[in-house]
Amino acid sequence: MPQASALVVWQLFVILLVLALTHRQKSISLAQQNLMPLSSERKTKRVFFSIAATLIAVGTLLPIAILLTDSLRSSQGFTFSYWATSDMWTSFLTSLGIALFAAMMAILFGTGSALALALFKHSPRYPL
Amino acid sequence: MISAVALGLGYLLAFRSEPMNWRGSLWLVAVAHCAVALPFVVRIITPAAREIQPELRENALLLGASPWEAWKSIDLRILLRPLAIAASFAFTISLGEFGASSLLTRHGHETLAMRIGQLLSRPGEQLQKQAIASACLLAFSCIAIALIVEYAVQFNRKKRTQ
Repeated sequence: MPQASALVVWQLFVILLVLALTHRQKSISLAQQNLMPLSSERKTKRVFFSIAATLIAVGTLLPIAILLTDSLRSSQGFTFSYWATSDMWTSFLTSLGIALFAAMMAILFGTGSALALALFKHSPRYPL
Repeated sequence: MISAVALGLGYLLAFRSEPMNWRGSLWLVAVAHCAVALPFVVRIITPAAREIQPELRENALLLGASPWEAWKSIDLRILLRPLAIAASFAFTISLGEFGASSLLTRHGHETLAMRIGQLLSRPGEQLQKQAIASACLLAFSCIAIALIVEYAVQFNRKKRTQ
């Protein structure tokens, strides 16, 4: 329960921080590429965007932060021993190898399929 | 798009008897991962591929470029960014894939996601902490891949504009 309250407080704090940062500014970092110019939006929309962005950021980053602190903590204090198991690194290398192979195949077949679909679009017989 | 578990079960049933008894082979796991990631890759690349005007390629051919040169200098150049993004997507999907892997992987060749599941299913604080460390490693590698691809894309864009 204290963790949940801390999470709520932290979330509110980050929402306020994002609002403060975006207030009277032409853009947030994304708007450098003109994707989301917040200054031209209405205030309610800006608040909605800020809350949504914060929720996404907190929802993504918070579990990672909790995982990291948990993995480095034991009953005796700080430890790095849970990271030093050979099984973990063997599995990691296996995963990397499989992922590399799968990504290469997916790119090869995916590009072929996408180009074929694009050709259908330009073909006068099969207009999509 | 098909559920990864359904896909894994399909592969397991299809390749369980001789002469195609490939259960437990790592390449079959990679093929299953590829099938899971393929729809995402196609959805990312197709819009960019549709934007390529065939006239550009025809002009290049008229100016004396070989088909390979025309493809390299027009199609590949336009598709480079979506290709990089799609590759990172496929890589991270495969890295964290659990459903198909749990059915197709044999003992001793577990992926990281599977190892997390196995460690969490056993009692003991030590094993639980190891699972947490593995989950951390998985998360960090996915973030690292996304950052590397984003940096490479930005670097390439800057290089082109200069």
